[in-house]
Amino acid sequence: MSEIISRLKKDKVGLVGVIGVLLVLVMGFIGPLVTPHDPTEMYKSHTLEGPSATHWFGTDDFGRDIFSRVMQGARVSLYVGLISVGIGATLGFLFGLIAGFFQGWVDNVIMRIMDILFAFPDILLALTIVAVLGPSLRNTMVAIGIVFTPVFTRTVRAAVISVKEMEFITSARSIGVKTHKVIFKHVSPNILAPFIVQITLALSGAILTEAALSFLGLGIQPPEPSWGSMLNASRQYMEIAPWIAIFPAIFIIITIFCFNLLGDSLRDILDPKLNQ
Amino acid sequence: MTKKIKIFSLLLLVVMVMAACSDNNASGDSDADSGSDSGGDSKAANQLLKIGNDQEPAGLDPHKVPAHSSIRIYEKVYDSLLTFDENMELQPELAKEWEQPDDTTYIFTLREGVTFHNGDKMTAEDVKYSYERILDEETASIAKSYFDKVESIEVMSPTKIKFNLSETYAPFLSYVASTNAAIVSEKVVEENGDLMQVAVGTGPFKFEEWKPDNYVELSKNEDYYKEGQPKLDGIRYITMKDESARLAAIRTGEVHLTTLSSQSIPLAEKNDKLDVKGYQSTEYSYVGFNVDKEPFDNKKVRQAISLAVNRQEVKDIVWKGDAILSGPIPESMGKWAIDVSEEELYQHDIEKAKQLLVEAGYEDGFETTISTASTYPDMIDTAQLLQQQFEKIGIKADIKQLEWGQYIDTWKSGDHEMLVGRNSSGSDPDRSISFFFSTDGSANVWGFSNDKIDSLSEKGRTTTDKEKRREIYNEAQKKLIETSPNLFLVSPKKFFIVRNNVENYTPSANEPENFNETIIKQ
Repeated sequence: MSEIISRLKKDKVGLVGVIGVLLVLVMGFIGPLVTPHDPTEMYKSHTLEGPSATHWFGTDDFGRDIFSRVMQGARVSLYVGLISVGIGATLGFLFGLIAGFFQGWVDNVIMRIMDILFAFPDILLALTIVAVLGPSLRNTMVAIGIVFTPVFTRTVRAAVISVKEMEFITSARSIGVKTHKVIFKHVSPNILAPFIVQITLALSGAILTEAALSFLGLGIQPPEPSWGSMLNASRQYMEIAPWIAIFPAIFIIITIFCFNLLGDSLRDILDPKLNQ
Repeated sequence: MTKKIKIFSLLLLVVMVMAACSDNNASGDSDADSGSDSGGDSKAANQLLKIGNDQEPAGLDPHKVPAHSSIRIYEKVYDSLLTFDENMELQPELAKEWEQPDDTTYIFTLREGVTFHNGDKMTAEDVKYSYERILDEETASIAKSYFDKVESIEVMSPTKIKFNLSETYAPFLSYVASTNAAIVSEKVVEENGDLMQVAVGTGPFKFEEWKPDNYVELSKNEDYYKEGQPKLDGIRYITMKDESARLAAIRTGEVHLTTLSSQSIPLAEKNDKLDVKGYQSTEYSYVGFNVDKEPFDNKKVRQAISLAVNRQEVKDIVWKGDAILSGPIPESMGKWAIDVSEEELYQHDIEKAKQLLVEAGYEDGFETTISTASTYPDMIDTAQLLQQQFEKIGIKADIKQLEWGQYIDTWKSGDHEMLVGRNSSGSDPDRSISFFFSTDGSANVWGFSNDKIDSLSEKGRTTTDKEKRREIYNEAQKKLIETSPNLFLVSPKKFFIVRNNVENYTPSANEPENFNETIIKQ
């Protein structure tokens, strides 16, 4: 671990990613506690005002403070990102382990199901799931979680298959170590690298999917803000009050960018082939 | 081997070139198409009015399709026996005069020499056929309930027709003037099976073609019974669902006329090539309660919510000031509307609202859900604003945004607690009152039942004296406000944005699109 950190320190691009992600995390966890205004409070005599000393990012059509809403939105985005990737990663890890380790028909069944899920475009699948379950924050997270399961399953399965053939696994099995012990004690720790990289990359994808779903009115329900729903509401005012659109958009871009930078540099660091 | 590859690559190249050419041809075609639109047949194109339509029409049958995107098209193709003028007064249309020998009999004398667009003469037989088609169960006409009281229809001569009603029915003539009571041709219905894709009427414009997801085009009816009308050579309704697309199209002159929501009006006003024409619509926004469910079965709770609503804020924030207070019958309905500004329950009074909640046994407030349609930004905005207003009296409401189809299902099934929506009050107060609120009203999805309202709507239907009728509906409106099955909020203004070279066009609530005198100045 300390080696990863020291290598990250040397990787300038990765460092930018790390700092960016840390800032977003701080913003999400502490931001809403210190915002100058209540994000849902309507200052009705100050609707559609541009950025000023009292409202740093301006106000929306209800007179709500955009800065406070962006901060609150960061929390929603991170929350959705973490939980939904958590769901996807857990399911994907288990399925991938089982499929990769046992192979044969189990592998076939699991992977064909994953192929079916994989065949649908992310947003379409998430939309369908949310449409069936009904729009709410929880269902959005479940939907995104399911959408991300196949990616994790594939990543983990591929890693398991290559690790499984290694000598220490063969020797563990030959001295009679129980199967579940082999899977969780010996195989799992050795496939973590690609898995972690996938998590960072999926986080940005999940945040983006949440924004898209909220943009379509199927994610988080008003008046609770999310970056996506703020963008959606801003569409009508794009020309008269561009700040309503610009700030959430900037934050989406920066967040996604930082998560991707971190993911890319982690992949480079953790890839044994590149290290040699 | 290499030779084979060469031949193969050559073949591939030929195929690719051909594909590219055919592609060119296709786009060439469409270019030619748009060329002929704008300048090809230059004479016709000069007076072709292009309209940005915010929805694709849902079919063209005037007896069946209630969608606004369809009505605005078929109302130009068809005529009814009567019509309304801009003051909501009845005027002759296909019937040049009408008489009422007794309370339940109406005789219409038809205009002579009116022909359908296919050249056939319009006669009393067509009128009879049209009404029978509306009344036929199989047609499933939206106008059927308007004419339930019609017992028989007699053709007295080719230009005279008599309607016998089973009892006195005051709204009859108003419904005869409805676009949904259009006169159609039996021959055309039989030839085509239905009227969804074709339209042959007697109106000022003829139906030319409908390119799905693209446009509907109408052309001038040279034989229109009103001499010298219409002035235009044709109208094209181009489907543009996205507001920003319509805004761009009207700015660049791609269309001559379109509708925009109040938020975009300041942008259109800034453009000196555009005129903004507003008119007070016959719509109103509302909050509907499911009065079968607790706590909305308690009148005091509903009244408390009415007092908690700040209608001025709805007007200012949701509609940017472009709306007026509304009761069950909006102000654009003229003499039928009452002045609601002094109504006790329209006064924003938090203290009194809280007190009513205490009396109803909800001193700590309660939790509930506001359902609304995600399709319409004004509805979502209204819901958000109300959510915040309700909080002040301890009511914690969640908002559930539903997709349009789901919303309609929820509305129909009564599977809601509070619903935010918009209603159109039609042309007769009968619709505003009994259709929505009488116990057996077909749009009473609130579970609401009130003896007083039922007896008043019955009385309103059977009273023909206008002044007495007005008093009945005034009383009904006051009763509805007092019992509050719905909270009537505001009636919004609607806006047409028109290029300033379009002349002689003024929209009104009753006739938003009368283009009979309209011309395009070059």
